[in-house]
Amino acid sequence: MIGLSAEDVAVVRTTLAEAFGDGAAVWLFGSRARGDLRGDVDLLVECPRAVSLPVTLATRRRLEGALHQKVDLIVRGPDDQRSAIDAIAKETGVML
Amino acid sequence: MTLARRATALFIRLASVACVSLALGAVFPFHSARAAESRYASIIVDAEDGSILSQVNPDRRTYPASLTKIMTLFLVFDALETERLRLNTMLSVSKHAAAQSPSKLGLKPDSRITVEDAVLALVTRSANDAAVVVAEGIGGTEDGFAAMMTRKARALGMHQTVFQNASGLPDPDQVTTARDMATLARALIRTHGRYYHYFSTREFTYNGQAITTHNRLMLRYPGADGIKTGYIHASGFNLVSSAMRDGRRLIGVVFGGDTAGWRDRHMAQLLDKGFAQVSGYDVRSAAADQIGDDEEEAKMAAAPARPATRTATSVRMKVARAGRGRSDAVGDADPVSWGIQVGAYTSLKPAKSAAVAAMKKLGGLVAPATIDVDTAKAGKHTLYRARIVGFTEDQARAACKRLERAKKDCRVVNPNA
Repeated sequence: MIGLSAEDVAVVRTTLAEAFGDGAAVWLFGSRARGDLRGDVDLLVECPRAVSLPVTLATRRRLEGALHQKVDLIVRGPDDQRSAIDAIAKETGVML
Repeated sequence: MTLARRATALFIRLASVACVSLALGAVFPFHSARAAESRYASIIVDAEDGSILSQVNPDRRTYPASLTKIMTLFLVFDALETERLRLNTMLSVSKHAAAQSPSKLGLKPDSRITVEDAVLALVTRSANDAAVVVAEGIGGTEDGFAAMMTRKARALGMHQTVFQNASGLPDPDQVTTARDMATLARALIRTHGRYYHYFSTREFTYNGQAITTHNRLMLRYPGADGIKTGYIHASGFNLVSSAMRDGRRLIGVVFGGDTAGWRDRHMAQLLDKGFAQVSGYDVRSAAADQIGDDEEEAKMAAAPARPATRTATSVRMKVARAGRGRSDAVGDADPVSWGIQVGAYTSLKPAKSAAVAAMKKLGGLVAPATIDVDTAKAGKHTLYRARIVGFTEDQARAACKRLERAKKDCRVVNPNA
């Protein structure tokens, strides 16, 4: 059980699909993935297309407004450099 | 700063300036930062006769989002009634269906799903792939099905609704109104009552995966038994609800919530007021006044769950209790009750009218309070005092504050004075 409601998950997926297209893969990680109902909503998104920074920031604002929660959003395009957080998110997180 | 935020900051520093033109909001250019205000609409209707109990912007055009699926399901139920489909009919999953955006079941192209599982996936997960599967199963193509949906809408009297797809995914030409959605929900319950129970589904299991409903209000609001949530960015948070108390069914529609929580709380308030009206107390909606007044509402709605406390000598009315399962008659005397007095008159009728007007102004949010027109001697005359009682002290003061802001006379009545 994750720390987001079914509707919250749908909102995350809908918002990310609207912003980044249908092919984006999404992981919820951090405290919410462990079932905590409090704490930031940590999301990793792998997008099959290049991603602009303004769209990423606007999407984070949208998510924060819709979820009424602080959101940490990491978005990777196909050519973006990966870091340790990517591996951690995938290993410990939940794919939405 | 969390690990993720540090990584985000690093990402921001490293981010390429090569951008794609995925400008958010480009599809719906009229939505601005003030969209939440402009897209709000609501309506509460009595399911029996369709009478309107409250409405705010009922004919404002907006996007249905996944409320669309109520019509998708209406046509599925039509097909079941005419035996064109059966619940165990296997429907094929096309590439187009499998390629739908989330939310979805994750159906694979060329796989199959039963009509009943598709229905359950629609009402719980709001699965867009399942919506297209049933659309193609009934209409041949999703476009053809969307045309059927619009024709059905017209036949039901939904004059301002146009469907372009079966799922509710963003399309600038797919529009509806709160009034039309209430019409649809009422028609569905009346026409396809034998299938309405599907909208009460809390969870179902598909391929070993437990899928829970998005409709949290249905799980919490006394008497609620359906029907559908919806969200896209352009619409905000939408909800059609239905609840039944004491044999009366109401249908509520709220469009344009900023968050799911606000939308659910607001729907509960509107339904509370609706049930108060149909149970004999005429409280019209003050929904437009209440938006943005959460702190005062919270104070007023936070009454202890105990009966209201004064014995009226002349008039006693019932008011829905916020968060309670039904509208209850009040109890007998309790010397610790606070109240408010909104006027004193030499006859009963204007006193009653003044109390009713004050209740309307308070928007039915006065928890266990009741109207209490009592009498007092003033020389040879009898005065009828228009009072509302059953408050805590804080609530009474908040109620007077709200009335005074509306330039209405009000004074707090201390039960110990």
